[in-house]
Amino acid sequence: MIINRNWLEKYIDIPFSDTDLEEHLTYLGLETVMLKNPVAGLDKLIVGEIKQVEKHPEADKLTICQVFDGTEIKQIICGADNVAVGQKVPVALPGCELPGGFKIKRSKIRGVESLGMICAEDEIGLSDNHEGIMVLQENTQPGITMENYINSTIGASFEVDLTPNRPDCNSHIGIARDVSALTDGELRIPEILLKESEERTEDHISVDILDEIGCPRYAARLVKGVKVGPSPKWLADTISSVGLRPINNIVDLSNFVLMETGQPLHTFDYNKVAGKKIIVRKAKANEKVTTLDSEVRTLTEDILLICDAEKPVAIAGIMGLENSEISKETSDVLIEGAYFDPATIRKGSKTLALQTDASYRFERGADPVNVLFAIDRIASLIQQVAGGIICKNRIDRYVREIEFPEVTVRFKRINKIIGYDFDKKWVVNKFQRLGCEILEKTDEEVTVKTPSWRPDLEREIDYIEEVVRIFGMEKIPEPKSLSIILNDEPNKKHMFIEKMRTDLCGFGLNENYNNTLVSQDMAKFELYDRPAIELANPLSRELAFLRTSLIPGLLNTAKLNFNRGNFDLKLFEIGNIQVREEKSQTKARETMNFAVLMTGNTEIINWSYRQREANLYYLKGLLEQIAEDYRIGELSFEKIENEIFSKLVRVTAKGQDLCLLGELHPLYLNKKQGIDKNIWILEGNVDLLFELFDPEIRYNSLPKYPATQRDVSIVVDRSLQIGDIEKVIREKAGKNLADFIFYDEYKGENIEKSKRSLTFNLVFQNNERTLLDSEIDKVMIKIHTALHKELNAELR
Amino acid sequence: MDLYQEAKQNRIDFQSEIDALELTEQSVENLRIKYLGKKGIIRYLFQGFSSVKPEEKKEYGQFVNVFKNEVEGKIEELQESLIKQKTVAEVFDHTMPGIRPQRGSLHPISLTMREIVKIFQEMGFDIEFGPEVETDYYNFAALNFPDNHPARDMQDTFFVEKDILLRTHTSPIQVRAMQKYQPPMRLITPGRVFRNEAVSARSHCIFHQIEGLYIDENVTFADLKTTIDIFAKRYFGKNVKTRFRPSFFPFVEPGAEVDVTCFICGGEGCRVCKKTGWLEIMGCGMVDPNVLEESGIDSEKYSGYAFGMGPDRITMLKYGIDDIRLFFDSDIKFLKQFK
Ligand SMILES: [Zn+2]
Repeated sequence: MIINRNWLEKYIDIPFSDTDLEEHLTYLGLETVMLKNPVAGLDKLIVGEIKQVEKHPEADKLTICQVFDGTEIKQIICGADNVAVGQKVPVALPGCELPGGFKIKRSKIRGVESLGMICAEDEIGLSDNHEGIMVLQENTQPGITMENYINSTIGASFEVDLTPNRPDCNSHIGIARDVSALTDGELRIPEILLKESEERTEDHISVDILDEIGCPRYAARLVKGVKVGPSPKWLADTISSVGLRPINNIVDLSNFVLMETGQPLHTFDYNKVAGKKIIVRKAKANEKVTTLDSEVRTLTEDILLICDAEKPVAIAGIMGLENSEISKETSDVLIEGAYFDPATIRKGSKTLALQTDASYRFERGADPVNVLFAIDRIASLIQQVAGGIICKNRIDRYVREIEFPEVTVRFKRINKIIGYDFDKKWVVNKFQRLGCEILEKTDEEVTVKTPSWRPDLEREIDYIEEVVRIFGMEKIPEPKSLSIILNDEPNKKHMFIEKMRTDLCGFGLNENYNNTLVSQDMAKFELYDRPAIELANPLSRELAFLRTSLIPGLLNTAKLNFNRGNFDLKLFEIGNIQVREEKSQTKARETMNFAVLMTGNTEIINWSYRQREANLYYLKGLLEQIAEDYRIGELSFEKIENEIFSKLVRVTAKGQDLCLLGELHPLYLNKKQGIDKNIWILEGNVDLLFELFDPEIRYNSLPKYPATQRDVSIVVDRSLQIGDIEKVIREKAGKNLADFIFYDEYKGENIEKSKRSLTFNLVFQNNERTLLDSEIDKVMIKIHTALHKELNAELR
Repeated sequence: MDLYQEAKQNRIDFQSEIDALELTEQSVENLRIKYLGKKGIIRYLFQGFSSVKPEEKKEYGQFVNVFKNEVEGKIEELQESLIKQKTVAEVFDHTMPGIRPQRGSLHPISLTMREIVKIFQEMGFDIEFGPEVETDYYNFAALNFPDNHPARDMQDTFFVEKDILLRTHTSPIQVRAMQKYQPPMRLITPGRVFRNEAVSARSHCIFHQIEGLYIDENVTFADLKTTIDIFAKRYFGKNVKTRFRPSFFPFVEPGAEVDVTCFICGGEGCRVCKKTGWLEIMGCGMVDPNVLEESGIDSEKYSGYAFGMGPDRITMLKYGIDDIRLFFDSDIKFLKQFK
């Protein structure tokens, strides 16, 4: 909401500068930013005083003016007929550029020199008015800039960003009241001078409320014989100062009272209201109306309507209808001041996707009591500005009384929550300044009645907030020490996840974050084909599902990087995935996953070694290292088939699925992803890894007796797997085998095509004694024999 | 020729052999074996001691010892010059690049969260996690957001269906914690959150939060101020000042917003702080009694504070990143910078 300082000063003295006011309001919880003057370039214009006016000898419509600009007298030719000696006017001197882009130059007009231009309001962007030059207030000092002039006559304007709990501050009086609580200045509520006629309102209109929940109060007044026309200058200027466009005197006044009191009012052309009757009722389903903005809107049964005897005339609390709008021909104005139920208005506004100044206020909670003040205020102003007579009495149907709580505030409790010892008298005084009625006061506590404009003050704690708000949070002293709670068991899962992050970084991987929200295609990732969760109100189709795997996100990242010429990637992500599960309360099963993507070279390019391309065994090695470091026990690896992978391995630990790793199928990458590179992927379950993780490091004393190493070199069928060979060797080597290392593979010359040559290094060691060469020789013979017999291996 | 004569001749020969020696590892080694080896000349000369005339024995003995020392010294000298020769001869270009170890990197937001979490851990806060898909109850109702209240507009929500949604803040974790533990409790809740907002340079539909909660007897607003002030000084620098402005969040009362002096311009005013000298970094307040009671905590006996901040925004401010989308685009050249 925009407020204006001069307007605010009608209700409260402001002992601050503009910048201080901005800061004080902000510290009161009303976040305020001073607005730059709405018209740029006013600082380039100066105020001049017209000292002499004479006819131009060569042109009837032009005058030659001598204008004092604060330092000297300048001759300026003027074309307006309202120019007169003694006027203070805005002057643009040579070199100055007008808001429209027109540049002022020294010139000759029909042979007479002119040193600038005297401007009309439209020429300097203040309004559309082009009825002659703009005449400023008489006491204006020549030589000051127009910006200074506008600021001092209209006052600085501020944008106030209100939180939804403060509907009362949607008005100048509301903000003035907060200022008065801060400064202890007196709040000035305008006095209303009503000259009622003998004609009685109730003879012209009656009100029927059919929905007492939606409309607890409906009040009305009738002003007859008004003259609708442009607003007087004070009114137009005042509402312009808060960013509203003047329309006509009736509409402008209802905006004025809205911005003054915060009470949304509606005005009808009384003669368009059929049957002298107002009926408040819920809309029928599919009822159609045309609102003031010329939109045809289809209603639902949630929406509250204001109707006359025949038809709807307004959507209650949201917007009027065209059929009863005030126009130039209107002579009798029916004024509506109502209190509508906040939830009803909010629902209606949501359903219609239509938020207006009125609905914004009603849904936050308007003031049910000051409705009467507001309609009297506008009636008196209409009479002042547009003439007419005010009918006697107002209609006031208050069918469901709104209660205001009585709240007891304990002084000790304030201190306990805030941590500061407040002066009791000070507290009570501030409650009064905020408009609370003091019902009872003792040394221990004070009981107050919440004012009708503060729906947010319901409980003791709400009043405690008022205390610290008015006192100033800044002034609450901060203790130098705090108690702490000592944790005997910090969150181990968090520690584990952070450890994983560190370890994966240590492996040379870069962490990346991908969006949880993905397209349907990505959510139905073919590797798992898990049921995905769809959003009811997504931003777009691309972001309509929750991810069921981290892999599609990583593939997107790879694509983005390929497009930018980054081909060597080693990425990881740790994040949640969600799979639809009907029996869960949230219809979701949420798992924390980790995933790794590798593509391109594993090392950075260097003069000293050849780069190696990533492959499946890098991922396998990474996982083996994790399994070893985290002491999760034996992993078992099983080859599985999936159409989007050319190679795929399932890894289980203690019988549970820990992860999948594999090489994506080039056809899938090519056809589905448009990628022509090899990509290796690993994805696993962090929750399970954490369960299996054994945080205890167990120290083994260093071996006392030396180890003996032997190599085994064999030639075997290519189809024979290392795992099978290892099994045979381990079985025969017995418990003295301390390590088994596969370190060479050879295929090619000197070896049959269907075979490969393999070399293993066996380490023998015993913790109690030195092993004899002769024992190991015996074991080696057993191993060789078994390899030959069982696996048809040929020794080399 | 008697042995003494022979020895004298050997010494002369040694000298001429040295003079004629072409310095190689092999020639030095040959020389060493010839004179100092198991079957070498020195050993031969010592072994023949008994055959020397008695009157010459003393003189002979001294002579052979001197000769031995001379040979040893000379050969050691030759070996040293060999090593020197080798190191001097080696071509060495000190301008060639080094061979670097390979290191990965944490995501910048992980980095920020880690730093923030560490500060609060040192102040005795523990960590709690919670689900990203939540119920309306934990995300709104239990946090004092009434149905059909404009407060809900402050957080545009993604719904899965009626009453099931993507959490809009990490506060539901606090509710779950309050229902799980007894006071006193002191915890922080890092996690990902979701808002139904169009993606732009300034805002994203996903981002992160770290919220904190402390419930005990006699927890005050003043305590909250101290905690936040210490955090700000430790995270942004010890000269940073904090200011508290009243604000509104349904789950706290009183509620406040916290600004820190702009650490880029030191409070002078710059583009980042929009010339105000202040940066808004978090919301906070005293836990609303309704929230405590909803979770079965006696609000007369206990009080508490809560706060929340966005590591994404803090990371952007800290490193001068002007587009939040960079966090989720994952250009490797971006990611690698945060080490
Ligand atoms: Zn700054």
